[in-house]
Amino acid sequence: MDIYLPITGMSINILYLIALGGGVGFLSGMLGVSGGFLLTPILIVLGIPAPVAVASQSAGAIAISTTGVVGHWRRNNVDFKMGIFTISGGIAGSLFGVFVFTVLNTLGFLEMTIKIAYVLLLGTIGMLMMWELAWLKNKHKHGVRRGKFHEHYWFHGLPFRMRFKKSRLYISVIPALIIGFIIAFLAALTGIGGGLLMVPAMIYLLGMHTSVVVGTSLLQNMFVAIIITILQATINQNVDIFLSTILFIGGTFGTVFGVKITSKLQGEQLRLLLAIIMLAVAGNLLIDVLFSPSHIYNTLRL
Amino acid sequence: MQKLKLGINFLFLLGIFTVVHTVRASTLEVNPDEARVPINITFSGDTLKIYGATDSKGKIIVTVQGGEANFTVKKKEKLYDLWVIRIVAKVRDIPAFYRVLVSKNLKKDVNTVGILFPIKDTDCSITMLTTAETRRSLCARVLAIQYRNGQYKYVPNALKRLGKYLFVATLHLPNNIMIGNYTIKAFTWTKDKQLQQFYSKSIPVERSGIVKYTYSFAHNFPLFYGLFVVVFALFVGLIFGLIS
Repeated sequence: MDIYLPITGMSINILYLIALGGGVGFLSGMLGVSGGFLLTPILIVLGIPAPVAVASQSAGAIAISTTGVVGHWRRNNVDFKMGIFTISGGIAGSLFGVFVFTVLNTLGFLEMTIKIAYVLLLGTIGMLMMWELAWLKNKHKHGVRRGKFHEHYWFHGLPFRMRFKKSRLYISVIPALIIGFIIAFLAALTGIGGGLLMVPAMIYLLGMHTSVVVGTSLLQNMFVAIIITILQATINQNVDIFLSTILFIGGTFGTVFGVKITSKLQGEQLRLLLAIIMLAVAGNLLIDVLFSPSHIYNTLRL
Repeated sequence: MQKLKLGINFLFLLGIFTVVHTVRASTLEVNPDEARVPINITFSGDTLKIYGATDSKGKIIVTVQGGEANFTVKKKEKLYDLWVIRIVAKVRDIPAFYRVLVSKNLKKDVNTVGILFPIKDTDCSITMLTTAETRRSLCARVLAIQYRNGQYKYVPNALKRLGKYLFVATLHLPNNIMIGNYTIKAFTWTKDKQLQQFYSKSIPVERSGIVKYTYSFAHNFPLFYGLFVVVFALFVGLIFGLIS
């Protein structure tokens, strides 16, 4: 059952795309990640040109994130106030990221930067999360009483402090703005979905509760995806509405199930799953970077 | 429908046969129901029959090329024990599609006469070359990669003689065929063993129906197209979120 994708310029089995969108949507709803870090490479393997894959999956991410946000909002799990600050930083970060992306692409160093950044970022965060989970397990085992609700860092006490009731925080808005900026910059530069970095940053740096983090991260993903889609459609004309629609039809169904699973799992279990996915992606890239390739030269159609 | 198609093809072959017999001219035609290849929403590849006639008794070769595209050439390099990819050049306007259709294995002959590739290794337009490699060797490398990636193919047993003068070649178009004009050329050997192109014909591969309108909307009104995609995605996401 094939469909020809007008902007992609090829036909593809519609059922593959629905299943792919469904799997990514499931992860998105469950973990608050946008899924782009998994979806983009798979679309490229299916023969879709990389620029179209990146641009169209961002359009698909809008629908998937919206479904996730609505689902978490109905469970009272979205901190809109915190979202406003991370999104504001994120808008500036994604615009700066697109600029640096263009410069590196012109110089021919983009792929090298992306791969090294992926291995370092995902590997480090995944390892830290695993280490923290092991530490927590050990702590529970020895019956140590839980102390503070979250760690207080010096940057929480910077000016412009504000109360975030949903996140049960009273911290400065500056870290939220800066984290939103840095993560959107890295997302625009490397293609790593913002949620993959945003979820750990919200938990470990801002000290937000895991249950609120997923919905709030999806809210940020939604806005970043809207900006990227409009920029890609206007500047590069690479957004394939048929491809993104099929992806998000599967994706939204997957997200619904993902959101339902979230409420049945504990925060530690979600974090463990996210850490495993991050380490698997980083490990896969590390193998690619360390071992001799089968072909030294290759071409990519523009 | 199939019978009608067969009937049309038969009449068409009869026409070519008559022309060859009366004026002894060489000719080449694609089957009459495929004057153009329309790419619509259900397109998943196509098969074309290329009919021809020649009074030459020598071997026949049919080549099809088209879909000019730009490529970036990437090279994996070792940097501090890490294999990293660098873009080493951009190659412009080389055919993204090339087929050599022959009756039996003539690869050696095809290579000798220089039509195993659609262009010569001196004819690439290369920009941004950042390595010490010469343009000619990089071009040869790019053309070889096209064969490795299946964009170029040498297809034996794809051409059949139908009697003394007529022949038919079968061309399979993949589902990712690029839009553009495709040139079909027919070659044969002269009496003094020289390859001679005796006919060429162009066939357009064009977008049609909703594929054409969507592409045109995305390229002529990109901002509105982007906003439309965003609003549509938000609407679908919202509906799914509310009903779930």
